[in-house]
Amino acid sequence: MKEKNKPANIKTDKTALRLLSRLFPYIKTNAAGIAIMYLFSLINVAATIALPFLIQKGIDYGIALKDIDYLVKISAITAIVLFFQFFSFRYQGRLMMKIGNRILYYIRRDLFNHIQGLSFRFFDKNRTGNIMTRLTVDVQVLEELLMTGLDTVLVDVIMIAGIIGAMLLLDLKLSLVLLFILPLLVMIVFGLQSRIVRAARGIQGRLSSVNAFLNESLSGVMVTRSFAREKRNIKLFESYNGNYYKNTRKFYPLHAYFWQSVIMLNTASAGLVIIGGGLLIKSGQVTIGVVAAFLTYVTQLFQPMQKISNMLNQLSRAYASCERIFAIMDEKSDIVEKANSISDFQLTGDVTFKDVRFHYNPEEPILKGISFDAQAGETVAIVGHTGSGKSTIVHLVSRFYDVTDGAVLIDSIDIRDYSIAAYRRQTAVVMQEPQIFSGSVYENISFSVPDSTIDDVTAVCKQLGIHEMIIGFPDGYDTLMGERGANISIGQKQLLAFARAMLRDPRILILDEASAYLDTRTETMVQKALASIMKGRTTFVIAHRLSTIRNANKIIVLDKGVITDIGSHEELLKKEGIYKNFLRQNNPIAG
Amino acid sequence: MLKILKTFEEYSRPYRGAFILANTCMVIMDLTSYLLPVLIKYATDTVFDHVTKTGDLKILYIVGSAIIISGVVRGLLSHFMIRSYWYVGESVVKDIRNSLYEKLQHLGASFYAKARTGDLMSRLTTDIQLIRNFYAFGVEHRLRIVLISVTILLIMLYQNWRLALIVYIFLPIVYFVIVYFSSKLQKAVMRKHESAGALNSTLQENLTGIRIVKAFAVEDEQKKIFEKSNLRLFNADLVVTTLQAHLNPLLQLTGGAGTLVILIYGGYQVIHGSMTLGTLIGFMTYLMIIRFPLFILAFNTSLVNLAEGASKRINEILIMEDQRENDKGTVTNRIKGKLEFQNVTFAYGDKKPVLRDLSFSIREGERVALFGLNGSGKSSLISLIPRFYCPDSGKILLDETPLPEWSLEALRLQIGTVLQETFLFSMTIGENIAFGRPDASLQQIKEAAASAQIDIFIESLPDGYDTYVGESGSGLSGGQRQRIAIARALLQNPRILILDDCTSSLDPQTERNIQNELRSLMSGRTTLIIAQRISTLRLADRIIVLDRGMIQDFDSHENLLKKNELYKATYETQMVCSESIIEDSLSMRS
Repeated sequence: MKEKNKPANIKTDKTALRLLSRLFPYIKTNAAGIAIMYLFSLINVAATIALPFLIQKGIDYGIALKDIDYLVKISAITAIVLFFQFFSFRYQGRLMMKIGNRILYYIRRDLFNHIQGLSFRFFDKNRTGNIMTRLTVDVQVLEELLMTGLDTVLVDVIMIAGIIGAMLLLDLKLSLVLLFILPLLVMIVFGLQSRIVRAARGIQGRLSSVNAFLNESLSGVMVTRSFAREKRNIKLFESYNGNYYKNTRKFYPLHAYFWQSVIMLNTASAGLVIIGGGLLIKSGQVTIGVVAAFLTYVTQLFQPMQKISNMLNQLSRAYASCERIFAIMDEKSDIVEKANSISDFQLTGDVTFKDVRFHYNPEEPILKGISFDAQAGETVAIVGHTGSGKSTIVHLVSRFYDVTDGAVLIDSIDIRDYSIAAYRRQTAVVMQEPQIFSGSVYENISFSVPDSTIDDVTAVCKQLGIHEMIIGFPDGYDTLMGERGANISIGQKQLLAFARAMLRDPRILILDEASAYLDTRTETMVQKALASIMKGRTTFVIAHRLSTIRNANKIIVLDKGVITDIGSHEELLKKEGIYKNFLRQNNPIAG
Repeated sequence: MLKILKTFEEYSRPYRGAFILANTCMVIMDLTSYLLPVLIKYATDTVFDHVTKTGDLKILYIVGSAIIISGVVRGLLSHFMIRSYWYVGESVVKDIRNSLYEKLQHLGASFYAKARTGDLMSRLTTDIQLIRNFYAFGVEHRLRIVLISVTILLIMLYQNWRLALIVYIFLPIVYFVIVYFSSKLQKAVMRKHESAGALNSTLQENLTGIRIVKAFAVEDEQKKIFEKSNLRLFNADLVVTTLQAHLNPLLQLTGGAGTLVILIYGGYQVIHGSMTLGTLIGFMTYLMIIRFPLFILAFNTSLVNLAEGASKRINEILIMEDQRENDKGTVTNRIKGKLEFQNVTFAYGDKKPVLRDLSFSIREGERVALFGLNGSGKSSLISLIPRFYCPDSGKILLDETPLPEWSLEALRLQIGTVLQETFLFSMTIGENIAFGRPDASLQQIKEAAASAQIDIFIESLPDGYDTYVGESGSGLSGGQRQRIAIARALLQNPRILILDDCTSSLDPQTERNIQNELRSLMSGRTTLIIAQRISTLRLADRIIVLDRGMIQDFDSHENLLKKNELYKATYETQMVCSESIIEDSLSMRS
């Protein structure tokens, strides 16, 4: 058994070291604060140990010997020690909290900023929920560790050592009670408590599944309602709940055993001290004051030990959290800016694809040699079935990914030679499901150009023909959107996204048309807005509307990563091929 | 505290025995804890003296073992106390949770229209946990605070009233300081939670919108926004933790000051012979005992306050009126499918009516489509049929019987609904299809899947019908989810079918593919279908054109094309796209 356990321990130690080395930069900036904190902690420990000692002196040499002067002197010293204890305890705590909070703040900031720099590939692999968990739950686990544990290791170990030392110093023989107390205390605190912590975690897991069921029931309540399934759901919930309940009944008795043992041990230690003290008093080896001091010390051992045990339990969780946090920090963006990238330029808007190949993994090529030219100001519609590679082409124009082979040229210069931010500043994107952020309509539109005024925004909206629509919202441009905000239809969202893109006055515009059907009023507005937004810019549009396709200068017909046809609507219609088939299948009137 | 106990009296009654046991154990345990100082006092005053003088150890052993035995007894008492309190806490909360769930299953659609899932979840999780904590240790702590401070005061007064008064002079001050701290702390904690919530929202939005953030290269703006939230959380955190860091040293100082007073004033009395050394040491022990209620006072005050708020919020839901109160109907006939609206007017709450004086009737087995702009009242209209809402005036007759006379369950079991947003539960595909009829056989499930043309896909999955569907059906495409929802409605074999805009979020190709399934789904049943696409509208025998809550027209596609402006305009907008292949589309009409 012992042999088997060993490698695991070594591994944990290594993890601990690695973890510490990662946290080190955060700790280093607070080194002075931490040093002062430990100084205060040591004063606090010293005071806590000295107090029973002083009182023992007061009793034995002041009260017992009826020496009032001595008693007053000792009392004065006690008062000073108390004062020191108070201040050191207070500042130790404040410093610990401050440093802990600051470290958390920096970790959150660094993590967030790092994530902002990661590329699409990272977000393709990691779901939003998972990243959220890193930044919330994992950081919180770290918080618990930092808030309670920063001072623990050192201070509590010193505290225990100090108490034991004081007892040994006061009376070696009476200290033999430690032989009884210490092993039991260690067993209770480290054995029983870690079992409690583990059981609590298990229960937490079961509670989460009760809550998950609950959450889903609430989200799906209308479905339940329309299938009249309430009774069965209630029964199901009762069984989940009952299951959790059954498990809690295994948990809290542990809690009861824990406190039972603590109380028994504490009282029994007092009894032992009295008996041992009595025996020693009989032979005149100790004084009553020493016995009184021992009575205080034996009960003081419990708290620091419990804290250490807590800390150890938290550490194992913190390792895991830290590893996940730093795994994200270690992620690197695959879109890298060249050292001497072009950052001062004015785009004209010519786009050329030269034998572009792209894949996420080599077995599944997505683009298999795409070549085409788009002149500045042209509208290029891309049509094709789901999975044909339409989105990938426009993503490459935005440089969300880099080509696997070939090149994308913008104004005859390789896209990878431009500064990323400067390039994107002259382009704009409208996604199929437009992201509306919480905040006002104005804030949502000016998202693309953060320092634009309300006049800029209004001007753009008038140009797009959506000014009237926005004025019709409850608070016009100040209407709040998002979870707590007004509910607007998907078509209206897309119109706002148009305004957002238009405000940037981009040279290259990328549009992923919504495929959902809009009501006639909105549809008409969208068509008008589209015409006005595309004017004078190189536009790539993943088209679903035939009107959009027909008006495009060039239509790229894509099938399984290959361009099967390219030309204008009229040209393509003359040929029998995928294009005609595509139109047929996307014709909304056919039924 | 009494308020909470009273609110949930009904729930705690079955566990009264355990609750009384817990309280009894608690009282005995605390009273026996005073034995310890008494024994210690006796040991130091008498026994040690006796031992030094006579060398007789018997009495020392007796007193020592008495202390040890008292420890064992108190340990056992504390065990049963903790166990019983927790038993009551977990049991009461289990029952409340069940009741709440039952209530939530029955609360009306108007409740859910207003309630936010996040808010409800927090009532069901955090609030319930607070009530658990209240019963598991809130009551215990509150009672012990009172019990211990009163009894210790009495004992100290009895033993040495002067010293007792001097020691106790601190306590009221400390008490008020703690209460002040805890109310401040509570506010700070709330602000911290708010800040943490705000940070999470910022984060959530950033991550869901990360692609647009990157597309517009506004990462720096986002960093600024996050920085603001982050800083706010940091400051809120700091207030909480600083308050916490202040409280404990203060409590420690109080304890120390008490000991100091006992040492100097008690010592003075001992020297003058008006008190024994044992009493003095006993006082010090009492002081240690009284530190326990002081240390938990702040924690307990905020727990009880929070639990009071929680109990109010929980009770609010528990006493709400739900659909069962409107379920007085007894008719459980098989629905034939004739529907008649007579002068139906309906409004949400006190707002403007969304449906105004609607009258129309639908024949048995007829397919009727609803068409209109956003906000014309289509969804409101169909929500009246399964009685999710009740009309404010007018009548709805089903097979000549007014809706309220139908049993709610019988009515809804015979109405099948497919919504725009397909909600799938995280269970297996088979269970999802059998959602409305959990007792359906696998054969029946397979048949329903086959009718919805999703059987081949399901069977191609490694686990077939046992494939687990993730949260909200993740991992399936929109079309696949929609087909599973259709199978789900089909298995129910409903007499009335309601399709609420269930195709508009699908791309045209998928929509086209799904039309045949829709057609077979409708055959032989009265069908109401909301749609924007002409292609879907044409599946219906007749189309209701709704305009601001009123019926503008109710006629066939051909006739509407001739006379209804809105319908015609829509047809033309959708047509513009396709003049070149219009012959195709017309020839495909069936």
